[in-house]
Amino acid sequence: MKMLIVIMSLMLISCKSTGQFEKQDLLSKLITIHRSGNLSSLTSTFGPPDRIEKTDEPNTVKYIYENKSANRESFVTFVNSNKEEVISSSTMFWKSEDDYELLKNRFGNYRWIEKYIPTSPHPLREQYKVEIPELGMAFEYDKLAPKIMSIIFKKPELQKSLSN
Amino acid sequence: MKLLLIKSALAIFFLSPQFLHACLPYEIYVRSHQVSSYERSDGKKVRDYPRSGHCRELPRTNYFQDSSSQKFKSLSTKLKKWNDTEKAQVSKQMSKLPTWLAKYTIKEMLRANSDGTENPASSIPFTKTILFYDAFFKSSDQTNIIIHELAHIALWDLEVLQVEDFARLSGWEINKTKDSSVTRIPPKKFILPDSGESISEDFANHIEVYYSSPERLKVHNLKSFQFIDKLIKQKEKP
Repeated sequence: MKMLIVIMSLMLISCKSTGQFEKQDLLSKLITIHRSGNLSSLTSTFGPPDRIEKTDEPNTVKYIYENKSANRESFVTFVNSNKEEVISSSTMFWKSEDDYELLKNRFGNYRWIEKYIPTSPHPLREQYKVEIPELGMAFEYDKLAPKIMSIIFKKPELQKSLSN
Repeated sequence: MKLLLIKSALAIFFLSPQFLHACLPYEIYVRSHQVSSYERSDGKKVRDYPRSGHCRELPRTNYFQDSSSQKFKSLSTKLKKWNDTEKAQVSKQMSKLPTWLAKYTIKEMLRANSDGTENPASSIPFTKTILFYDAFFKSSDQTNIIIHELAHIALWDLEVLQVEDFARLSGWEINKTKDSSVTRIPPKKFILPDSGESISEDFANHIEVYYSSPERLKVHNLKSFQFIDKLIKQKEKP
């Protein structure tokens, strides 16, 4: 029985110490921020960025949140500084041997649009683009190497039609 | 009942994300799947059951395969049989690998005709497979080709922070596209011509040049050289 209690405690600690099973991990937070579209939502959630960089487009700046501070995963958000709106964000995923399966298990209940992208013969790849419009999420993955480099967030489809 | 609870607790604990580590160099990842019902040698029937994704150890011999059950949608050429001379050439090059890359066990080494390019080889990190094309056997640079392909597989083992650091130091930038999406812009100068293809290609090229011409890499980008140098020294530790 003691053994069982120890195992159950370890299990609880494991669930508490990781972001994956929590509702408010980085992905959830970025989805929420892009739903609101407000810059204030970004800064109230994550605080000020580590760096702000200009882009080639007028009124668009890059908020860079690095992993080295606050023990968080890094991400970049593009911001319309005039309107104080968030435009889009990107974060590297790269979490497991099969990131595709991880995301499919988590978000597969939403409308999941998947398209094959033809590529050059070298290197050998089988590239697909996945879009989840209700969440404003998109990513590309290689079926032959399903670790995902970048997940992109934009304003979700429903919010877009409401604001138009 | 108690045993069942313990088993369930252990399963949940070890399947939690901090245990979603990369497989070891001599292991391969097996996707979650349904195990069909079967009869054990003692006659007991086992019902079908779902098996979650897991790492499985690979045998250390018999790399060479004349065919494969894998399907390659984008492969424009056909697989063919190895001959003994070709096997000996590849085995000789594999014996010259740096220690950290020699740890990788390859599940399938496949032989194919040319893929229509001058490409000598391709790798598939997920299934630990390397395809050798005709061009490989005409090359005088065979060790570096294998180092390059194994580097694609080794990238698979890096932590997200290491991949991010490499991408940043090599000069990959994140930029906004016209449709408000986000894309990665390759570095302005490449260590090898196809480095702009992807971060994985750039990394494999860095590792290849680190061994073939370290001074060239140092001159090209001192920061990415230092990153690779530190990474390899960590990996070489027993």
